[in-house]
Order: sequence, then structure tokens, then C-alpha cells
Amino acid sequence: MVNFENELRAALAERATTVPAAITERLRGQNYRPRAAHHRTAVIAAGAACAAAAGGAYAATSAQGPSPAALRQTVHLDGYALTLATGSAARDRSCTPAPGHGRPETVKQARGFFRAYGAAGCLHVTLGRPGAPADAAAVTVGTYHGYLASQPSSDRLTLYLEGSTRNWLVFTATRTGLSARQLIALAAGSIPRCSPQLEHPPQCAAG
Amino acid sequence: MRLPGTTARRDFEAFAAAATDGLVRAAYLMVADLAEAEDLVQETLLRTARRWYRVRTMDQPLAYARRILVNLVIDGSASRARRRAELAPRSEPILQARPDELAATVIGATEARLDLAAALMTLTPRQRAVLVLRYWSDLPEAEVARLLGCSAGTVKSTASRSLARLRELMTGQDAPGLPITTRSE
Repeated sequence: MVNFENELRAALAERATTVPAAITERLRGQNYRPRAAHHRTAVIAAGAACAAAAGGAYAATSAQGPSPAALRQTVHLDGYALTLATGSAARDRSCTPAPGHGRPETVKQARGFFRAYGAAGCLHVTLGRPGAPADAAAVTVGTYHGYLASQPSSDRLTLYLEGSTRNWLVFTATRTGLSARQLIALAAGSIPRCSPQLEHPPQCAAG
Repeated sequence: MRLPGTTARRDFEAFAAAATDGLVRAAYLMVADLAEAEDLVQETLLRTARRWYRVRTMDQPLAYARRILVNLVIDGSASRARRRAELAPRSEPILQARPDELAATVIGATEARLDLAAALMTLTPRQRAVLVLRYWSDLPEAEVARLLGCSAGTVKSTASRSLARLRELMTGQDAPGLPITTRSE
């Protein structure tokens, strides 16, 4: 058995040498933004501030019900944790509840996309490849860069949010009545202020 | 005066520079796919960075990163297998199309080693992790046990069973029809 163990060691060592150095270099070259302190509290506070800014778009359902914080739902879309505006919910298929089925199931862990439904209507949030149409206008979305494309003929606004190098977040609002400013505020209130999955916020670069 | 964030960043960069190569190679040995290995190590480093304020005070930050990596390998194995199955052409009988591959294990030391590494992929992710950590990373059983969250005795028995299984495969006792690319989770 000892010989076999040595044989296994040799086989593993030989196979390990086949890993291209480029992979290691690529991984070393990334900015992981190590945290020097536990600042969850700061992130939550910043998120709440953004949510307040987005409040005009997604109105609270009740001023006397549970606290707004309790109503805010977090949806995980692959590596992104998105906090929805107060009173809105995420669903995987349709924004509107099926008749006779009571309260629809909400989504906590979305795969590829989800639909956020609130007072302003239905918003489609999806992962997309990095990039935006050439005619999209550069905008600032909270601490991130984004691009806004408008299609007045179909009453559609699409906001491309620069996320990781692998995928961007795309917020599409169709016939919601949201203005561009409201959509940007809504997106800014949904995304985390600092997230390792999102590589661009300069505020997070200092660690 | 150096800011705390700057120091943390430099510490992490030094850690990542030293640890990345070993993590990538270990990941590759465990999942046998370069792209997956890269993804897993990236996620490992991201998670380590996220907790760096705590990890940097540990005696062995590398052990923390290794543990994350092993957990990612084991926990994500089912979804990776599903994805691989979805991406693989359905009409292609992978195993039957390469019936002579295992038979070739007895020909030449290099080929045998390559097949040994391939046979490794027939084991469960946990068994592979144990073998890679024991025989490539050269970690003692107690350290492997800490990484996997089990006892040293479990590591020992898992390694023993896994070696026996590999040996069976390599001597051809169980070779015909053996699914090289199929993993039992």
C-alpha cells in the first residue's frame, strides 16, 4: 500500500503541474477588497439611506404596519444580494398573483433573474453579460457605474449596472411609470454599497 | 501614518500571492476542471477577503481558506455535476466511447499516473478532498480532520477506503464499464 501511496503522490504532483500559470496570475491580479473591519452596520445604514431615496418609486404599502425594515426583502441573484424596496416582493415567474392561489410564493434565491413587484409595477432584474447598448447614457447608480437605455415607444427603461467582470445586473422597467431618476434610485437602493461581487465602487477600494 | 485599511490590504495581497497557487492546484486536483478550479479559488479568496479583519488574526489564514475551498468543492459538487450533464452532448456515450482508456493504465508509468488521477474522479468529492489534502498537500490527518470538520479516525478510514478503491481500479478488478467521468456524490 505504501508503494501505491507513493504512486498516488507522484500522480497528483504530476497533474498539479499542468495548471497554467496564467490562472494563478489572473487570480492574484484581482482586487478582492479585504475588509479591515466588520462594517455590516455601515452597509445596512447606507442601504437604508438609499432605500429612503427610492421610496418615491416603490411606495410603502402601509404607514402604520410593520416597520419598513421588516418589509424589505433580500433576494440573492447568483453572487448579488439585492434588497428590494419597501413593500415590494420578488417572484420568479409572474409579477401578478395567480387567481385563487392566495399570496404568491416569493423568491429568496433567484436563478438568473427575478421579477420585483411593488406599487410601481413590475421590474425585471436579471444577470447579463458585461456591456450596454452604444446609445445608452452613462449614469451613476449609488456607488456604481451604470448605463441607461430608454425605449419610449415601448415605455421601457433599461438600466445596465456594472457589476463583476463576468456579469452585470440589468434592471428593466416596462410600463411602470417610473422615471429614469426613479429607476436609478430604486436600483441604488437595491444593491449593496460594498460587495466583493461588485468591483467598481471606489468607496470600497480602501478596504 | 499607515491606515488600517491599507495594512489589511497589503496583508491580504501578501497572503493571496502566497496561497493562490497552492489553492488553484488543490482545487484542480479535486474537481479536474481548470475553469471550475479558478471559480472556486476566486470565491474562496473573496470570502476570505470578506472576513479578513478576523482571518488576519488567525495563526493560519491558509487553513481558513483551505476550509472554504473544501466546503465549496463538496457542497457545490452536485450542482456542478448537473451543469456538466446539461452541457454534455446527450447522444455522446462518454464512457463507452473510450473503453480502452482504463486498460491502458498498465502501460507505462506516466500513463498509469494520468489514469490514477482520472480514477480519482470516480470517488466522491469528500474522498477526493481527503486524498488530495493528505497526499498532495501533505497535511497530517488531524489537520485534514479540522478542515473537513470530522475526526482524525474518519479521515484515516476514508483515506484507506479511497486508496483501496483506487487500487482496485488501477489493477483492473473493477475496471470494465467503470464510469471515469461519472462521480458518485
